[in-house]
Amino acid sequence: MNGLLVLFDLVLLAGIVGVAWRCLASTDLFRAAVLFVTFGLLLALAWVRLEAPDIALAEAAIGAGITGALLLVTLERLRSIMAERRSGRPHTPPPDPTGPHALLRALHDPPPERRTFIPALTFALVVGALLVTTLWHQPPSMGLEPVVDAHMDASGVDHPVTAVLLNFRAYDTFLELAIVLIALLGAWSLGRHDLIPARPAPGPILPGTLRLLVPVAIVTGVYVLWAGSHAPGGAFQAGAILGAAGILLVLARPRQLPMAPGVPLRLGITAGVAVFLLVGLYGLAAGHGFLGYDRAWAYPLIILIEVAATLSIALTLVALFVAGRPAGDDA
Amino acid sequence: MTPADAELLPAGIAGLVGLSLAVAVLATAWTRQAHRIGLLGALAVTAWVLGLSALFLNAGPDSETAATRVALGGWDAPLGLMLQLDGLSMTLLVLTAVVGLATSLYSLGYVHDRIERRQFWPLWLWLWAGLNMLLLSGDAFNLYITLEVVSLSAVALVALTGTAAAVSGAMRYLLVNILGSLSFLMGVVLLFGEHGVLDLVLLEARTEAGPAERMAAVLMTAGLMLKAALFPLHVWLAPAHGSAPAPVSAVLSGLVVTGSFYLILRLWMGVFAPLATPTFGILVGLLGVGALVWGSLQALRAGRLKSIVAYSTVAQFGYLLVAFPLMLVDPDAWRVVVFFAVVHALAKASVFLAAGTLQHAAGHDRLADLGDVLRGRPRTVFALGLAGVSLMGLPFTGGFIAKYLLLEAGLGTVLAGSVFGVLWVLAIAGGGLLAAAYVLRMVAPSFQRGRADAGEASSPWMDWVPLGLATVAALAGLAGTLTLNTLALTPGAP
Amino acid sequence: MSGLAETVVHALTPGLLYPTGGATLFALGLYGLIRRHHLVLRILALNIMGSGVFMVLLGVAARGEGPPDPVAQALTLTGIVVAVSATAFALGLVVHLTRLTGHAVMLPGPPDDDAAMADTSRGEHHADGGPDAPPSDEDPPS
Repeated sequence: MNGLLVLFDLVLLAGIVGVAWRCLASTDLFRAAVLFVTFGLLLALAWVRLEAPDIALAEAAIGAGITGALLLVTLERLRSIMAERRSGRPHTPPPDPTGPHALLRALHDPPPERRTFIPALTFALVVGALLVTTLWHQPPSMGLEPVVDAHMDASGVDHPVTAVLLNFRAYDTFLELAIVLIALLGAWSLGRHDLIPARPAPGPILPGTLRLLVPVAIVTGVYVLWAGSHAPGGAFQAGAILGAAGILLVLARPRQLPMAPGVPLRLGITAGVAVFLLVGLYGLAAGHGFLGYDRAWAYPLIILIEVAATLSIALTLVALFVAGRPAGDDA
Repeated sequence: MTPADAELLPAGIAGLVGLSLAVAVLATAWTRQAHRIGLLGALAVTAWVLGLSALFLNAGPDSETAATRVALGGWDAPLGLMLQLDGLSMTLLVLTAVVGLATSLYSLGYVHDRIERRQFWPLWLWLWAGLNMLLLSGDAFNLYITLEVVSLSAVALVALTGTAAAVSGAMRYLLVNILGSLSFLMGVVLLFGEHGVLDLVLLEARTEAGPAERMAAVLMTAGLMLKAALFPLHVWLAPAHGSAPAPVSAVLSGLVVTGSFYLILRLWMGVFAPLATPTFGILVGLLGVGALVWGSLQALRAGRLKSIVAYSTVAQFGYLLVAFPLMLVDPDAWRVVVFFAVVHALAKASVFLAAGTLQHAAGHDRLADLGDVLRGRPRTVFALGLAGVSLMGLPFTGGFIAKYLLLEAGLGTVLAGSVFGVLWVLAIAGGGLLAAAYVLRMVAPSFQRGRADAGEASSPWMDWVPLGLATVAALAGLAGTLTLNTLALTPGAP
Repeated sequence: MSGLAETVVHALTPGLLYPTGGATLFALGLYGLIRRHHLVLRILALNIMGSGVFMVLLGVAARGEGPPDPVAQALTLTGIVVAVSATAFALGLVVHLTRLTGHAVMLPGPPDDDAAMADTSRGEHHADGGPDAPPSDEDPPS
């Protein structure tokens, strides 16, 4: 049995490294994007093998799903922009796209020049070898699992990862939400969304599927959010699932943003950090320290923060996909 | 320290974090008033930091009583995160507040386009909050997170004007930053794998000169050097500065780069202290000499005002590297180095702000054609010159005291028999001459005969703030003893 | 199984294999970052490096006999979210850079920064694209 698991690990790792290598070696960018999504899914398997189901969920939803969507839409936009520049007039997307290959085949990157080969290879091999030898000689670490376990009763939730994220090390999670928001502010500061080429209108299949898919996604997202308190799941995974549903809606109606511009959107994206901060300041005022909870109130406060965070993450991921600030924002 | 003070200091520390974040969140949610929120926030945060410093200085005669750690959420390390405040972080917090306030006031005049204003202020306030949190952080992973907050907002600010050059400089800066952050994170992972804790104080107690620590030191220092534009990993700095708005350049060269330097110092004084051998010190010193020489030569060659200033940042940070071997020989030298970094940050920020005013007036910053504006704006040129004098290290300025103390430390090593000591002394003295050369290059046209034209009218903030900040930089020498004594309130200092 | 094979199999725990895999990914990503010039590929290389770091972290956390370390898992989750945020922002920068300059390639080495640039303080928000990039270093390879 042990031998089979080792074999599985070796095959999986070989697959992961192999896919990553082919991805970086591609000359066709569309192929690189697809290989990257495959890489993400294989990573999710690796995380399961490492007994990290929360991370596997997050990797599949965020690392493979959301990042994959962002990559493909970016490649499409790049091709539109370059086509516009070549022809000198606005690129009109074909009314009925024949498939992704037709749109994206034009993006290539030539293979790199020979003279950087030796230095780059040596450098990478040296770094890799040093890391590997360092890692092989480390003692088995005691880790923080016993410490966390000892405090689980006081945390208000039953799942250790959620307890760490939203109670013991809540400050890091708060800053993580801030980083997502800052990334959006950065993307919005670059330009309005009408600067970016519009997508083609979809055929009938996508809206039809969405009618079935979006309710399922919403239910799944809400379940994953609620389940996070006692099982793998939580705000980030739920936010990613809802965000993916939002992205599908944007794809179905490219000329109409599914979210209200202006004030409701602003409030939505700042809701996560705002609620988190208010809870934190309240804790400071009440004597539990910044971001501290009263033991009896820990669970409701955590749920409150997670709900606000899920909403913000979902909205922010969709807004990052649209990638330009809404017109109403400049008024 | 009175019992009341003992309560107040941790609350003050946590409150600073809360206030900085609240200001940033508010400006993000209500962008129409973001500039007003920014101004009020800047004043509030500066006042809070000054109050905190008063509390801190009153707290105790030695580092053991003054240095404070706050357990966030009531969870002590190793379970939770700790914030920490000591002499080093207090000094840099005050620096950040002063430069931050000056930049905010300047930006009231500089960023006047209604649309750009709504993007600038939230990002700038997040950057400032990130810097405060970086300086107060006591946990290795939290340091990575605060570094990311600072980096992402800085990149967004560099790209703000939307020109091709700005976006290109920002892209390069972002790639370099992400690489640096990942290198840093890998180092944190190695330390966590070896010792099982993330808290800086706990790590300091457990690390020794082992292979994991060595690898982590290389990775984390390399990552931070990339972010601090320390030679030879400085390639991104000049292009990013060239097209960033003036207040952004001021913060980038004054605070962000200083923040990375602070982290390198903090790590090497604490977690990696067992690894700091004299040989290593000499290697770093040689890098510093390289930075000084190369940066100064590029500054002498550059054709644009902001490029000169950007390369001078690379050169001045060479001083900090040259001081590293001195720190190993003379335990008190590190305080002088930090003082030097503080004065440099003040002077550099005011130079960038003054350069921004000149660029706005003339419509460009090509040195060859700036003569008219230089002659027509004496106040701004005086600010430029005053800050430049501090960078050069002329007597009676803050820069002079810092370089004098560094020279003293260098001569000390020579007397102690170190061969390389001669090189360090020559570098410190020679660097001052090179700095004089490029500073004079910047202001020389104003002494020549020619037309004087004030150029495009600008807001009074853009006229007076550079002068104010340059005066602070020059007068920083008066606060030298206070600064050095504050810095002494750092536990674990060599 | 024979004694030698059994020893090898026992040694190849996930706590050893996955950190090695992570280090390999880190080095591979670094190599790709240096060698490829297209910005999207560089962003992918950085993502692969990041995944390498997470694999090392989770591998280290899975060492030993007991349940895995929840702090390490929380850190990885945070890291994944930070990575996607940075990636999203970076991809946005690439789109705007291409819109302004016509290509998405960044050659190594410092670009020419002494070319004349428009004043940045006059508040012209370049909604319709600014001046083209300076020549030489920024041209894509043919």
